[in-house]
Parts: sequence; C-alpha cells; structure tokens
Amino acid sequence: MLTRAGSVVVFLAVLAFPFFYNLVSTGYSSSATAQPQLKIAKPGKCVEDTAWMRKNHMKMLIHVREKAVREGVRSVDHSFHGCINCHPKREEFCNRCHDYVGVKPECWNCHHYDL
Amino acid sequence: MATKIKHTRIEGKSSAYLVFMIVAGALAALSPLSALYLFFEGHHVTSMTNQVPWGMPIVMAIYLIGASAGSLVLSAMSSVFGRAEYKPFSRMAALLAVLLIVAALMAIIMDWGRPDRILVPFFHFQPRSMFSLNAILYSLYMALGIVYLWAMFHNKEKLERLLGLCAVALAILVHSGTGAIFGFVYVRELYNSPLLPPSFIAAALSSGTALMIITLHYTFRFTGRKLDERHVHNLGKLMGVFILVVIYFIFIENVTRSYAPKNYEAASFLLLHGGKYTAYFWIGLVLMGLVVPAIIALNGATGKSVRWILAASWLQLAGVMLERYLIVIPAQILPLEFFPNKEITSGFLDGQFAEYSVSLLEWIYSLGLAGVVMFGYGLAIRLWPMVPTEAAYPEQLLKTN
Amino acid sequence: MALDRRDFLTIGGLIAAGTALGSVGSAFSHTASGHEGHEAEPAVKRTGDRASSKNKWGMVIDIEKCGEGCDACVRACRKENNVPHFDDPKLDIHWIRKITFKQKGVPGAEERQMPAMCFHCEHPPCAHVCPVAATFKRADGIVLVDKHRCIGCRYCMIACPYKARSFVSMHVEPKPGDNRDVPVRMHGVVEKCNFCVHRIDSGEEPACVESCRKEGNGAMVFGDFNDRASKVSEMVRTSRARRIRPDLGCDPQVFYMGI
Repeated sequence: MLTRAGSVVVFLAVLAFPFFYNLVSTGYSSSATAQPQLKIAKPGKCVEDTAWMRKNHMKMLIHVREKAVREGVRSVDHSFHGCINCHPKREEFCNRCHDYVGVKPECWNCHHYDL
Repeated sequence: MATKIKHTRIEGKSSAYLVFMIVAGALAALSPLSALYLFFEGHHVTSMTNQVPWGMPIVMAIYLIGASAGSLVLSAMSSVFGRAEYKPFSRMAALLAVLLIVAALMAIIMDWGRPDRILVPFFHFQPRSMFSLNAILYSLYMALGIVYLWAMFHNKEKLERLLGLCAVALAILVHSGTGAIFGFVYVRELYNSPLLPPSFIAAALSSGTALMIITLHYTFRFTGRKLDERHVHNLGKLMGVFILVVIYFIFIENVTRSYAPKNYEAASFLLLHGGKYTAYFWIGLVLMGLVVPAIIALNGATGKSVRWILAASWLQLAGVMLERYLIVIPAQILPLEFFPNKEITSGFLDGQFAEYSVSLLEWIYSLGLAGVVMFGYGLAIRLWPMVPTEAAYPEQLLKTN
Repeated sequence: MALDRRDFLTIGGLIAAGTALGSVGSAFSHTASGHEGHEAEPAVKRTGDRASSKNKWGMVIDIEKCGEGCDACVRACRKENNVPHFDDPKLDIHWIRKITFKQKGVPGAEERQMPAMCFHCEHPPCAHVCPVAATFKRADGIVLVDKHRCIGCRYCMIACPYKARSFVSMHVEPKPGDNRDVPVRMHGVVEKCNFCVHRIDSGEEPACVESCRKEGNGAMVFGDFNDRASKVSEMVRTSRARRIRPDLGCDPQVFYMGI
C-alpha cells in the first residue's frame, strides 16, 4: 500500500503530466518559444491598435456577436466578418497564434473562413 | 430513542466484494465512454430522432431522480418524523440518494448535444424554464444531501434533524419539478397534466422503498451482518401503500384524459391500440409493475416472507422504470396535430406515428449509469462507516405492533 | 326578413372579398405609380440600425395559390441556409417543408398543400422552456436560436407545437458552394427557420418568399404587421387569414388564407 506521502507524490506527478508531456512532445525546441509571425494580407490600419487587439479580440468578438445575434446590430468593422475582410486566410493569421498557444476556439466550426 | 446503533466500514476482503466491484466498475466505465462516443459522433448513433428527441437517457434521468428523492425521504424518516425503525439504514439511504442524483445529473448532461457547455445554465437563469429551475434545484439537492450525510456521521442530531427536514422539502420540490418538465408541456396531450408532479412523487417513494429493500437485503447478506426480518416486512408494507397511491394517480390521470373527446386519440393510443406501448402499459406496468407487487407486499402471508417481498421490490423497480418510459416516449410517438379532423403528410414525417426502440448505445448508456451507482455504493461502504453492524428492530415498537 | 347563418356568412364573405379586391387594386396602383410598371422588389424596411419593437415581422400564405408539386420555397431555403441532406428522413433537418392535407374520413377528399416553417409565435413555447435563453424572441418578433449558447437539451423540440425544430445529429462538413453569408453548423445543437434574419437585417425578404414570387406562384407574402399599410397587414385585416392551432394561444405570426 502507498503511504500518505507517496500518494501525494503520485497525485502531483499525474497533475503535472500535461507539462511534461508538452515538454517531451515539442522537444523543447527554440521554435516553440519563438513569437509566431503573422502574415497580413491587406496591410493597413486595424480598427484598434495591435496591442489592444492581441489582448482583447476575443472579448470584442463575443460582444459584437451577442449584439448581432440578440439585437440585430450588424455593423461590420469590429465583427468576425470585419476580421475576414482584411485577413482572408485563417492559416496565415488566426492559426499562427492559436496553434502556438494551443487555444482552439469554435468560431471556424460553423463560420466560413477560407475553403 | 432506541439503543445506539454502531456503524462500521465493511472489510471488503471477500471475493464476492471484489467481483461486485469489478463488474460495477466495468459498467461504470461504460458511462463516460458511451457519452464521449455520443458527443463526438452526434445523436444519429442512437434511436433519438427529430420525431423522438428524448429517449432512454431522459427516462433514466427521471427514474434515478425519483429513486433518489424516495431514498432521501426514507433516510429522513427517523430524524425528522421520529420513526426509530428507520434509523438503522438512515445513512445508507442518504448515501443512495446522493449517488442516484449524481447519476441522474450525468444522465441528463451527457445526453445534451453540447455537454461541454455544462456551466451555461448557471450563467443564464431562466425562471420560466423548468429545466433551468431544476438545474438549480438538483445542484442544491445534491449539496444538501452531502451535508446531511456529513451531519449524520458527526452525530450532530439537531443539525441532522434540520437538514433532514430541508432535504425532505427539497426532495419533494425537486421531484415535483421533474414532473413539471413534462406536465407543463401543453402541446402534447399525453404530457400535459397537473397530476404529473404528485404522481412523480408517489412513484419516487415506491421505487425508492423498493430499492432500499433490495440494497438492505443484499448488503447485509453479503457482509454477513444481521438484519431483523421485520425491517423488510415493514418496508414491504410501506412500499405496498405507496404503490396503491401510484395506481390511484395513474387511474385518475388516464380517466380524466380519456373523458374529453379531443383527447380520444391520445388516450386510446396509450390504453387501447398503441401496439407495444399498450402492452407495456397493461401487462408490464399495471399488472407486473404495480398490482402484483402491491398484492405481494400487502398480503398477510407473502408480506411476511423476505423472498416474496424481494421479488415484489424487483418487480416494482422494473415497473417504475416502465412507468417513466411510458411517460416520456408515447407522447412523442403521437403525431402533433396541425388541423383538427385533417390528415396531413409531409417529407418531415408530419402526421405519422413516430418510431422508437431503445438502441444499443442507449442500453449501454443506461447500464453505465447503474454501474456508477453500484460502484459508488460499493466504494462508499468500504471507505466510510455506512452500514450498521446489526440492524435490530427497536423493541419498544414491538409492543405496539 | 330574417337572415339565417348561411346568408349572413355569404354577405359577410362578399363584403370581405370586395374590400380585399379593393385593397389589392389600390396596392397595385401604388406600386405601379411608384416603380414605373415594374413589379416592385418588396423592400423590408426595418426601423433603425437594430431589431426594434417598432417592427413585427410576419407572413401571410395563400394556400389557394400554393402550387401542387412546387417546392421552390424549400429549395431556396436549403440553398440560402446551407441546410444539409442526411438521406435519413428521421434525422433530416427541415427549416421549411411542404405539408399535404385533406379532410379526414372523407373518401376521395381533395388534397391540398401548404408550406410550413417556424411560425415565430408571439408567445413562443420553445423560448419559454429553453433553460439558457438560447432560443429567444428578438425585439422585432423573430424567434431565434443562438447556436453559440444552445446546450442541445432538445426541450424546445418537445415544446414546439408545430414541429418547426430540428436537431443536428450528425457532423456536417462545410463545402464549397455554401452560401457564405450564413454559417454552417456543428452537431449537437437545435436549429430552425429564422425568417432569414440576415436578409431582413439587410433589407431583403426571406429566401422562400422571394423564390415563391419569382419561381413559384406568389403564395407567400412577407412584411411588417406593425405597419398598417403593409401588404401583410392588409391581407390579415381584410381576408379570412387564419393561424394554425389558435387554441394553443401561442399566436403565430404566420397566417394562412384558404384553409
């Protein structure tokens, strides 16, 4: 039988599994830590500045989504469609960062991006 | 109060226990597996369709909630109503109540198309939706059940009485709410009835008692502890009375429904020419699930035999399962009426009787939920002192009997 | 002379028909003068830049005009909203369907057809039972499913009296040729007709109504019930337009003429 201390160690090991798993599976290469490079298809000015967008685009999209679905406010510039207008290729834009941080939003399951 | 009852953990070294836990664990593992399969594949792998959107998972959910509510009321009998004869299995009943509500919540949530959105109902409370109200009630009920168990373990009698009282009130509310999920649906004749909430409670009490009899008997037999037979006789009698109440509700509900000409079609579908549903109703539910167990339990000779009462309990458990099935399914089989006195057809199967038979995945799903309860019970009586060393019948009650 | 019931109805009917004819006539003259003879593209004018209770969208469907075997509305809807085919009638998603009906128990009774979709009830039972308000009624009366929020419990399908709802029970792959103005779908949520809400918001009528007018027989008319001058208001005022199952009290916003 495990002692109490032993079971705590086992528990912590199981808890830390994702950490070690990622460490091994990515080989801890330098590429995994390099900043992802975005390709901007239509360079120009975004509706908000880049730093703000990087931090808040998800909140903005959800806010605009609720407005559009529930209240019928269909202004384009801050919406998902607004994003697509300037960044038509998901692979070259959204995916770059989202793959990097391992966040999988559901937007593209239903909303057409590039086909 | 009766003599102090001593609870101990079971040893859990017998091979019977090992076999039980392996079987229960294997069954319990089926539950998340089938749920994951359903989540990734979509509901086309079940028999649930656009005509019959609710299938076996919902049947299981209301069945488990019912048994849970019944168990909790039984558990509170000793502390709240001062009935000393229910004291020995008060902990076991409360444990079952908690396990059953957990399994019921699993049944409901894993059946959602998007179980990953489990927290959404808590952020968007909709007081007009019975589901939304129930989400709150079920969570409260589960939490209260756990605190109530805790109070019992720590011999806090005043707290136990207070919590027991709240638990009974909440159990009744929870199960009325469950009945109202169906009773409030005014567009389907076979659902819409103010009698469903009380009828659900009656069936909860009868099935909860039946489950208690079975659990008591097998737990004491396999742990080699002594169970006074009079406990089983007493519970059997109680179950018999509850079954009579269930029969009364089913009778009133169907007679009332059959009286109005606009309901002839719906009522006669269930009672006269619904094919397998009519057979389930009369032979399965009324005869084998209600009348026979009631007769066994209330008859003088068979009511004093543990074997007979056990048989009656199994019949009753199956009967209430069938009752839930007959509440959920036939109402969806009947086509919705667009125009009175007109026949309609369409590419969407309008105006036709729908088809439903429990698919393999739904069987696995349901068995998995039973496994969760069994495994949880086996584990809990091993981990905590749930089962009394001896369940004697309180002597002072014998004099009055 | 005492009027009996039949006479009364006949006279009432004549008066109603007269007013209906008159109003149709005036409607024609109105469009003719406004648009130089072309049949007007009925614009859906919403008030302001958001859904507002100043509008109340609805539909009137004249069954007398609905052609047998014509499925222009169904095809248009499928195309517009990317509605998939599963090749299984029990699982197929239907936003709009053609219903055939005839008198029960009358041999050789005449069969007639009508389209049926979500009726966008004033008191929608689906929205009342939804535990998360994923189904809700917008300010302009359109009943919508917010698929971002739907948990897939299917209580709304139990509660809907008109079988307007379908559950997406299978994975659907987006494909080239899909209408990109409308998202596709994930399995596990409920969906239904939304009166082509994206078209209404951009001032167009629903796809089914448009195709009924252009390819079909012009049986469907869409408009604003709050606008007394709109064609739908006029039709409901002056004809015997009826709702389906008015006894339930859900007050659908889709009316039928000639049932």
